[in-house]
Amino acid sequence: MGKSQFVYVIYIRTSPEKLWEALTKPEFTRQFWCETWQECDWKQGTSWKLITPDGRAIDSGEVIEIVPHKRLVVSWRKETIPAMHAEGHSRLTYELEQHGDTVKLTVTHTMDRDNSKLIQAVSSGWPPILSSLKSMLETGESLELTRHWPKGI
Amino acid sequence: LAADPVKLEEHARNGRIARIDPALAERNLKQTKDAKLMLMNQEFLVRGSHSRWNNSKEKPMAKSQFVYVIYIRTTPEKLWEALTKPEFTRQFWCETWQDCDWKQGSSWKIMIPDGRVGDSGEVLEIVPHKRLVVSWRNEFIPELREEGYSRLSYELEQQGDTVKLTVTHEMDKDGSTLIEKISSGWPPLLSSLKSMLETGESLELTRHWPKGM
Repeated sequence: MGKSQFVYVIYIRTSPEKLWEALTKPEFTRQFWCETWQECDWKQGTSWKLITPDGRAIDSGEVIEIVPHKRLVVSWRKETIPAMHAEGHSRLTYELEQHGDTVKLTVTHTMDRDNSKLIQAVSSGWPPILSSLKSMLETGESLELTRHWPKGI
Repeated sequence: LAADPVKLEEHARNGRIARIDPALAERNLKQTKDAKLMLMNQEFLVRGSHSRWNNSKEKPMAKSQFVYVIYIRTTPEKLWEALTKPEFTRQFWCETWQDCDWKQGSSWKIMIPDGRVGDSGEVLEIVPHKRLVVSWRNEFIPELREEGYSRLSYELEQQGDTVKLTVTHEMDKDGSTLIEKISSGWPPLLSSLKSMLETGESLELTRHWPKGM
């Protein structure tokens, strides 16, 4: 079967607990992820949504696997762009591993088809967001670049 | 660590990115070319922007490639210094430094703290604060040395108060072991570079040359 995949590894000077909070709690995601937040109770099998500041669910899916502070897998379908919506659900995985005073975060975003438009789009989206997450955790300030939801979208 | 791929792999073991799918890497690179798109993680439609390789007249050939993009809150000038000057590379790149006068055509070497040469090559292209391309052959691991020269490029682009750094390391052969090794070496080094520039302190993980290497 065809596959499209984006993998990114970044090392962050923080603890797995703090990184987990930053990845899941609205007060943190709003800072580094363009003012978005995730509506989810973080239990296996429950629904997951990414919400824009104006209240739209732009991506949705469910929690496939969750091991707090270690591993999170959600299914992810684009809701607002027909060409991507038609591709169906992708899978996003975060893996957290402590290495000395840092945490190695591996982000894998996969779709079981060739040439996925969604994976193509997220491949240029994750590097600034994850760079900003690292800045937020290490300096207290996310990158200006990812602090606001882009106008007109 | 990139000069020391074996130990690095121990530090940063990651089976998933170790094997780079050249087609995917090429696609990733294509996307990273369009700065405007970077900001909007989901809502944009990516239009194909052309990388120089796509436009190349050369016939398609075998290739292994690693591409990594990281955004650093700094200036292009400071990032350039950090990438080229020994007092900075020693902090984030396992105590190594580069022996080079940074002119096109000059020889380039990565020096290990005990004086050995880790990797060597020459400066292929240099535009200060913007772009640096060096050829790169490993010198101390026979299996890697045999593969010959790879190419490393750094591209720096200012975006607001950050600099987007794109690191591309490639070799004109399929299944390169060098590219496989450096693929797990670059993420900790570049993460450490960002920490050094933003906080004043590199990551402990990459501060020392691994013992026994």
